[in-house]
Amino acid sequence: MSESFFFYISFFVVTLIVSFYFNGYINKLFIGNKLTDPVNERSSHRYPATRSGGISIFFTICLACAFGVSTGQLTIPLYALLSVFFLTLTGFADDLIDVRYREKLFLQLFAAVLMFQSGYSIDSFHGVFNVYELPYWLEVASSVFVFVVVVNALNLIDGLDGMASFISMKFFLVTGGIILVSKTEWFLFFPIIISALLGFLWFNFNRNKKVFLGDTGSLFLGSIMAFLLFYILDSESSLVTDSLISRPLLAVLLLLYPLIDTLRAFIIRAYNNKSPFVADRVHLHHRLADKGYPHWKASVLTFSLSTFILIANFFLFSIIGLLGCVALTTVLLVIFYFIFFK
Amino acid sequence: MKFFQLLFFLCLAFNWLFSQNTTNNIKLLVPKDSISFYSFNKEGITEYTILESKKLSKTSLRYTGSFPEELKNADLRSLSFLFSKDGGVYFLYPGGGILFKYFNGVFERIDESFAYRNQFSGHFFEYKNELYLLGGYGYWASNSLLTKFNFELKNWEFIPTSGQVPANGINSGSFVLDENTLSVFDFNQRIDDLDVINNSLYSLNLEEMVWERKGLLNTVLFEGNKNVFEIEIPFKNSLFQKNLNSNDLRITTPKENQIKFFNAERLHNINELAIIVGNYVVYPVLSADREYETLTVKNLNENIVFQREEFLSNDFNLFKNYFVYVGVFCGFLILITFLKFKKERFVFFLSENSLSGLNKTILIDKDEKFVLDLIVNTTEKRVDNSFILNYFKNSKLSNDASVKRKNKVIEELNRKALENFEIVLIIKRSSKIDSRQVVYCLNPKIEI
Repeated sequence: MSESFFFYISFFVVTLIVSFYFNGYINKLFIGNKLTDPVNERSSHRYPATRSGGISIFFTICLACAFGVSTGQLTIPLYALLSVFFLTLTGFADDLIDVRYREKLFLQLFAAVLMFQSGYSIDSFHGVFNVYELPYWLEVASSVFVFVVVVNALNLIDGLDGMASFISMKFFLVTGGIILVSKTEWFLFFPIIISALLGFLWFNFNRNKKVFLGDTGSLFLGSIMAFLLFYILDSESSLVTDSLISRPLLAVLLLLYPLIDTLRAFIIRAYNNKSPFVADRVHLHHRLADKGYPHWKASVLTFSLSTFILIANFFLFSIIGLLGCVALTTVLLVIFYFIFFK
Repeated sequence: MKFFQLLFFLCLAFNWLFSQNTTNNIKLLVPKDSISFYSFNKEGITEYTILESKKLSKTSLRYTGSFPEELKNADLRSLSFLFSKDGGVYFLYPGGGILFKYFNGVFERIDESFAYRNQFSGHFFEYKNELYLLGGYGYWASNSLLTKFNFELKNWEFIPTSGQVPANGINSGSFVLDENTLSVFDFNQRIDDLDVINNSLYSLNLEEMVWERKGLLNTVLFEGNKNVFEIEIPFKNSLFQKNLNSNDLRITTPKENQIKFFNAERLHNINELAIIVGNYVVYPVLSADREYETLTVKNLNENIVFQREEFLSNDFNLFKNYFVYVGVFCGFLILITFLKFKKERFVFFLSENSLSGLNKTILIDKDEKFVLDLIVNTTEKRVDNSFILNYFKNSKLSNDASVKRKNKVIEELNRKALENFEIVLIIKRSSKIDSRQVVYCLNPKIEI
């Protein structure tokens, strides 16, 4: 325990330093090349900021994972890696030369199919609606759909400083526990990604050297999350949480805020006869910002509330069951909405 | 010399007394109840009863009628068996299909099926007077089939199950039947023509025929080789497992999510033919010249030493420890974020007509300059509304107009600051002395 603990901690610390360095260095490069984020009416920043966070996290993780793999303590599934790389490049292109939404969606579908080849997919509903094993066509369809939803949901919540990082960190911290027990050979990735995000967060909260995730970062993190969701929802994987909570419920709770916010934004836009993909300020975090919450407070608040709901469900699932947990989550969401977001 | 010869024969007699040896062709031991068991061979049966003194009393009889042809050349020990509540003993041919029954001296085949050969190493068990066979392998594939013997049709029928079925088969697993739940764990599944260990704990509800995955098995089950515990004997609502070549023994109780580890030095010569009868473990030991077998009876409680206890399902300790660290990490993260923004101070420089800071400058008029000066020059960076209002009072204007003018100047200053520096400069609060009075303070995060 102690030996592996220090191994993980050392990777965490070294990656954190590398992440600090890369974020600062690449931010300078972007500013030097006048690749700053334009300030418009939707922007919450008034200073020159760059979208270099995603590419910095990407480089940091690539470097740390390369060392991790060389120690023999980390394995990375090939097709998942290809899919993540593909989507990261898509995001990078989008950051530099705005890619049209339809083209981006097509590229996301391609990445989803690549991810499906990794051997992990949503092949079962695990008893939700009394459905277990899925036919192959539905397995493919639901996997691709979830992939696209997750990737875009993370992209959409990246509207406040720290929001996407905190939500991602919550996801990776919880899935890290599951992977630690059931798939130890992947675990080293989690200290690496958490510290890479921490390094980015420092710059994201910085006023003078502000750095955003950009599409590179949100698509990169989103595709990794989608892969881990595939692992969680794959019937062949064994999870330590199986006796604690239903897998589909866990998957939803891990990404509760992005999913709820995206669903809400789509419904409002559809109600107002607008395209669901149009950018506006109907997101929940915009309400927080408009109410006067500083970005960091809004991010920490969202992180804390969604973590609270997750923990409550973990503790109560064995007592109140799946339907009870869904009801509980709905009630908590309504209460929190009226207390904090209304 | 004679003394040694005498001692040698005395030792033999002593050994005979304490090991309860019986001779001649002991083939297959089947537990009957908590004190007795059967020993089957191809000629007849011996029923043993364990006496309080640990000695055995036995009754032997030959089969009435002929012994089944199918078994004449077969090794009885390859059969799966169980003692049924109807008083008979059932024997299942390897791979499933052919079923035999021993009852009241008659050993006969009772099925009209054939050797299916698709459920080798499946689990043969009885539930509510019905015989079932679960899982196994055959024809190069593992399966999770559940078949039941139909006593009327004298054939096996497929029983459909639902829920979280182990889709890639159950091969060489461990099984514990407790009331209406059959726990299945530590088995191989077939994926891409390879046997892969399934590290989940499953349970099959035999009332509803629904599978449920109960969780991840403790990693201690997979330490070293899968076949570390070769001897497996059902023991009450648990499973007794012993390693052949060491003293390691474990008793697994799925209902209590528990594995107990023992040292079984005194059971060093136990083998795969052992059975448990009540609290006694009974096993045949082959003589040195391999001519005959001796039955050994040992009290389980007196011959094993408890070492430690673990969870069967879920490596909760690791999971819990991880979340302790995660909790500490999240606490630190929120605390550091809070402190970073709490302690953040922004320094501005005030000149005659501008306010500079955070790499930006905004223009201010003389009224705004006055308000800022007034607040900055106080020790508490706080000014009563009346002081500011005095400045804006003008004999040509009404009192309301002066108030509006003052409010407009402060609002405009804050608007400009928020737009350019993303920070509010002046905050309006109620007075500590008289809550009806208003005071204007400089944002505590700002130094001018």
